[in-house]
Amino acid sequence: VSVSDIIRSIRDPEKPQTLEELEVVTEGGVEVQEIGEEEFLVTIRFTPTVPHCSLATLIGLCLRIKLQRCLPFRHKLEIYISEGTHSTEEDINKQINDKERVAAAMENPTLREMVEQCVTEPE
Amino acid sequence: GCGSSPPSSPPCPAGSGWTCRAVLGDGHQRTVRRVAWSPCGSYLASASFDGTTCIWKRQEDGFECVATLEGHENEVKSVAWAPSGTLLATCSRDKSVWVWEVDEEEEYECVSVLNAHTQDVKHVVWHPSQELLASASYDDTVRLYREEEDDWVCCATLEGHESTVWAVAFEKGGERLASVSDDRTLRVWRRFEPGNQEGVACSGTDPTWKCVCTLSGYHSRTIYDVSWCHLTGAVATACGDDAIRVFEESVGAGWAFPRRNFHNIPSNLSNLTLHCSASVLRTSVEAEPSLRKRPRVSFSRHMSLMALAVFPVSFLE
Repeated sequence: VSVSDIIRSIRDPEKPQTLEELEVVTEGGVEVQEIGEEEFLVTIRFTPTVPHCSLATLIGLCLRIKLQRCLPFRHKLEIYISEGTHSTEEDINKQINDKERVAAAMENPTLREMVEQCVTEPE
Repeated sequence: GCGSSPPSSPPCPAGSGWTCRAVLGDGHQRTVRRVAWSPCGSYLASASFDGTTCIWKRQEDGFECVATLEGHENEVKSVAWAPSGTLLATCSRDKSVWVWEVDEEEEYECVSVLNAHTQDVKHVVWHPSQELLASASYDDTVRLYREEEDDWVCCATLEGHESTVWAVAFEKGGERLASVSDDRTLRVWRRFEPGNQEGVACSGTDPTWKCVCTLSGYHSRTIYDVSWCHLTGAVATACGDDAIRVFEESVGAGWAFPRRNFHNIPSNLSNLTLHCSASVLRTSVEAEPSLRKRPRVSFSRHMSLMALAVFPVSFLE
């Protein structure tokens, strides 16, 4: 199972399509580097469909949660908005790569529910 | 001194030596992020993502929650007791730092709400001997606060880090402070009093803090915590690359290899060497994660009483 396999089926928070179908995530946006013995640095660059801040952050959160849960190997994860695709990309990148912010966000029931809707595999 | 290789068996096998005396499960509704013992040892403060800080008092048969400090708008990230035992500080994602006072009747009162930071505040720590408070923030700065005429004010802002500052630690004497960041550097800041001989400018009566040393290239991911040993002077860091590093400073050690050129440093100085001793306590022996840059230490021109030789010691035995 590859990184792309795990993320391609994540659903967009707003549209009834997957991130892959909407080209929010592409094969080219996934980088895997070996950083130690059987440990890998996974870097994802994604392109949100709309410049709306909170949706971009939500997509970043979905990517992180899905990969944290499903990656079968020891890894470190970095998620970024593709350069030049968003006006507040630095702000968003900082939030989605702050593990304390991510952990706290996932304790928010409303946000958690939205993430679960996007990452849960359909039956 | 050098670090040691990881022990092959734990010195305290599970099940011996330590007993779980209490489980305080009803105080908080979300993650408990930080705990801190009061200087007298009778109280325990707990800071939670539920926005509250609980104060627990040690009883004969356990702990009782004697106070719940409310007011922060969202997650409380850190709590710390001042050495006097009568003051407490908390900080939160709501960008504020609160100072609380406790009286003889165990009543807690908020005496100040400090809104100096512009983002999430990650950590608060008190000076070891003075009523001086430091905070570390997502806004990339460290701020210091002191009491002035019945209120608390921000008396210094330490700028230099290029990303979130996760933690700070004071040296035993309180003249220096170490900070660690998402920018993967460890920085040492030194306090310069008004009228100091190094010629560092101060505004008014407050001391100025300058970054006198930046350690880059040693950590390959975010550094989350730092601790400055009050006994040995060693500085330990906790890093997202799964390693703990210990840094030591030796004064007067003389020049070591390779000598580097630094600008604006007078030549008649005592020598300071900062080196990284062994990366210790990995769970398995493995190659050091590839570092994009060679480790380096840079000194500001205010390191006029310190300098200049750096020798990175090999990372693993």
